[in-house]
Amino acid sequence: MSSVTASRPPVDRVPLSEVLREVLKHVVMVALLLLFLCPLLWLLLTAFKPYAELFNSPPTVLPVNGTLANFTEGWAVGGGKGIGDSLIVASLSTAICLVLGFPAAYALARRFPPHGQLSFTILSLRMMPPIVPVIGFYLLFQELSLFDTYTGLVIIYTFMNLPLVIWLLSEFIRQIPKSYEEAARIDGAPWYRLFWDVLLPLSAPGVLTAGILSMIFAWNEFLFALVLTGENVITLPKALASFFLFQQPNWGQLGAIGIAAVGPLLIISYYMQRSLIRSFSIELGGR
Amino acid sequence: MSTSAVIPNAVRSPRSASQKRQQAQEKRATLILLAPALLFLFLLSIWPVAYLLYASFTSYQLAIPIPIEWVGLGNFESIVTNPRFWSSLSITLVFALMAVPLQILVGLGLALLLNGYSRGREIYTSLFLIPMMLAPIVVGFSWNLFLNPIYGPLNSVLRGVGISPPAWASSPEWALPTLVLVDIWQWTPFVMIVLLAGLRSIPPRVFEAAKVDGSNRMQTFIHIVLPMLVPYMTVAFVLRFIDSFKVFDIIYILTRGGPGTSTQNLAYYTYDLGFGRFEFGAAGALSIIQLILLTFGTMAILALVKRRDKAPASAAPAATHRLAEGSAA
Amino acid sequence: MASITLANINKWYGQAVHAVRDVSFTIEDGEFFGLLGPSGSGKTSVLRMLAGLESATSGSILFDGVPVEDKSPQERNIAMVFEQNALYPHMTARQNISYPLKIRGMSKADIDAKVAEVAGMLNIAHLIDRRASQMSGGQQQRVAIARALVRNPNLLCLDEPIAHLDTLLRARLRGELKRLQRSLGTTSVIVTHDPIEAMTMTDRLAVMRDGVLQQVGTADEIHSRPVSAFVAQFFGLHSINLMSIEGVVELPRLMGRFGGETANLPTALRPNVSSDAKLLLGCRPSGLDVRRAGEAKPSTDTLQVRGKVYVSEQLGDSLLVTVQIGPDTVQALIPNDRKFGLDEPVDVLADEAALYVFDPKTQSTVRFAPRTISPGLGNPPAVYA
Repeated sequence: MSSVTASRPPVDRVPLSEVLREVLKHVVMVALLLLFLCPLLWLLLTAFKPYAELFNSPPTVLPVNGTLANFTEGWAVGGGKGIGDSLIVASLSTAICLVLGFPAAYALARRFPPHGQLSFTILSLRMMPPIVPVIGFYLLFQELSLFDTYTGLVIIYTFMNLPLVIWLLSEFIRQIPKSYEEAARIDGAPWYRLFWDVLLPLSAPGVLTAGILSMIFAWNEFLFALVLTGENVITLPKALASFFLFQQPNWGQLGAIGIAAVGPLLIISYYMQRSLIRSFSIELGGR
Repeated sequence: MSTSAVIPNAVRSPRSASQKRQQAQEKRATLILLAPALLFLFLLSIWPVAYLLYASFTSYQLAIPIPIEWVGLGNFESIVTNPRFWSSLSITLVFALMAVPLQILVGLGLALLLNGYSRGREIYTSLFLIPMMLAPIVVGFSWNLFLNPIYGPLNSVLRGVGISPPAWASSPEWALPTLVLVDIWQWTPFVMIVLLAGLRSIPPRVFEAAKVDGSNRMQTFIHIVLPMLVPYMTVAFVLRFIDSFKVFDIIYILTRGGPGTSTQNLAYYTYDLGFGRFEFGAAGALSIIQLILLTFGTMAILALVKRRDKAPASAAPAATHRLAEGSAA
Repeated sequence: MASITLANINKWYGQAVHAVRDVSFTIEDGEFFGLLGPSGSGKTSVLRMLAGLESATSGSILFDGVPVEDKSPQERNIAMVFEQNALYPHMTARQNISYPLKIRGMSKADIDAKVAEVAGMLNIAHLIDRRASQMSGGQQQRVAIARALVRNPNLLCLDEPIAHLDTLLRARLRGELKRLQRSLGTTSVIVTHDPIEAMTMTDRLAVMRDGVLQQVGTADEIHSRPVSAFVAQFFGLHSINLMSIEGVVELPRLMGRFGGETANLPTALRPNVSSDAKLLLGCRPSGLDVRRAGEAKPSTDTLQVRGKVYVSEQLGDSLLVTVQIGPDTVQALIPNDRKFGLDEPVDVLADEAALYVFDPKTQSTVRFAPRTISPGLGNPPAVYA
């Protein structure tokens, strides 16, 4: 470390008190984070405890006889099915959202005023608590034989996420200079090539953000899955909730499935905090 | 065409055939692009509402094979005269008014704290964001385990320092505050990131100018930082307020609306009516009532925001849109 | 390549904005034509209508005598270089240049040959595999020009193509673009707000203001025979001085009031005095002289008026003196062998042959200066560019 800095031009010497302060700052932050994430960390630790250790009173913090059995058993008792079904439903609905949403977002961005009636109406759909339409959907699904089908849940999640996808994408497309499209028109690109060669690559970060959010929301959704599916389709939240039918849920397995369910999201959260901060800054901040 | 061109200052704008054609073409293209998505959204909003309306005017009961009768406004009447409706409405509001201000307060604290870190800020921020990425179901059972009276860690720690822990979710007094605590834990990060964006949007020059003017940290915070954060706090407040009406999953896992009906908010009450007791007529009526409340609420907020729009230098127009962007369930 | 005619073009945006008003002109085959005007003058709208990006509200556009109003940019076979964001950022220079050819379904080998040819022409062969973000602004514009030229367009539209570059690069690209246009003979239209750019690059140009075409001609014609005070002020290295003289009398020498001071006027202007005894004079800074007060005797063929030095600025090989005359100021560009202190009383002089007269009401030119100093001559262009 010091040999690296030695070859660099001399830097102002940082006084020791400054260094200590900096170290202290980070110690405080790490402590705060540990405290904050305590419930989740406890779940993580529980996932590695064998069944016998789960009900120790007072509880032991670290697993004494650490085991991975919870993960394999958790997978077998419904975690695997849950992850699979959630993956199917979330990715299909996200794909449809993007396919339907991108052209609409483009039209909204280019042909309508930035904060107009249409975009507000589309967005207001998102404000509705899912409980309001769910009974209507239940009756509708019974009628159309969509109850407890993948198709049904995909339709519902598409409905749930489409407004957000349209809105996010249209905000993103609005920021793409029109001159790219005009250049493409002058180059003689027909509309499908304009979309495919120019607009889509330029809005890739926006598509990624919208797609990730749509995936997360579908992945986490519980109420619609609870009401609109039965034995056939069991998404992850529903699989997890079914453990609570017992008095003493097997916390180890529950923890294992839970951790598997949130693991991917943790990685995504790093990407998301950047794009979220950016989008909020652009939206609300002074230009 | 030529006559109009002779008068350079023609008041009306004469449209040439080519321009008309181009406009018609653009209109058609816009329609083609918008139609699939809008049609999808329109059908899926109208259809269930039609079913809801049908159910709410009948004696629709799923479990009992009695003939469906037209009952007019009977369901609405029985909902409005039922004290459970009013108690669930008040529980919903109390929940929102407890959770949201605390989220703003704690979120502001966290944002200010994180903003003071030049190194590691991104990592810390994303770690703080974890709860809001989690499925509410996972959040619910993490806390269920964490607060377990026998083998949960929190109670043993509290007992260790000599505090006798409350019964949390299973006591009538503590159940609602427990849910509030869980909601704060999950959603404070959202407020935090909105406010962090607000803080990042204040140009450093402002702080330098304040320093040069001789204002101390507290004064800078009160006179400069706080006023500049107000639009961000408004947005966070409105979004969280709206979202707090959606809270269902953590109630399902932690309290099931109990003990008694002490944590039964509108969402859970509707669910219980519909899928606990299969009284679809009543549940449909309750849904319609919520839809009406929601529509008026949205319109009121919109009017409020629009009025603020007229004030110069207001961030409200964007706020209108952030309203509905809401981050999750 | 084509000759292009605009006839009675009007453009309305909505019902309120009449952006282009009855504009007609012709661009000859192979000509480098300029559209010059301040922002909001409608020049860009004219270019976009030529390109087919917008349609005219009324009037017609002819390419080689054939109406093209209903044709798309592609059918018109035009190419365009934008002010900014001219390149697709997610493609390399090569992909950018070959894109229009790819769309036309040209074979890979033909595309490669064409790309290599234009890349050589514009000295960008070494940049060919870089993306826009890996190139400087000047390099990006070069690639954009290459993309425009690669398909031999009928018309090359340039929308402020070098406005965003720094001064030195701008000067260089001006020359390059002009040589390129000459050697290819592609009919080209450039939109610019910079008179220097218009003057140096184009064969002929049109000056626009508030959607109305003011004057069409060569740079020299417009400079020496501007049709109005606006054109005279807008066009040139330094803005022309406008002097509004009132209460003109002959006793027996021609005199008038300018900025509260009495001005001695050349007798040659007598026929130009308006009925209410006014004269609106124009004189380029290079036509004015500044002398210490009392140094020069009033004569019957010069304008002379007393003022005081507001500021004098060294421009290297000349001196720009701003003289305050009452509430008005005039600027004179004189040899730099003289020195003036602040507030020093001076006489401002102009030869009768350097004076323009404009109609005080309509601002149109009623008398051209018999002797004009052509742009760049006797002036230090380096200072301005």
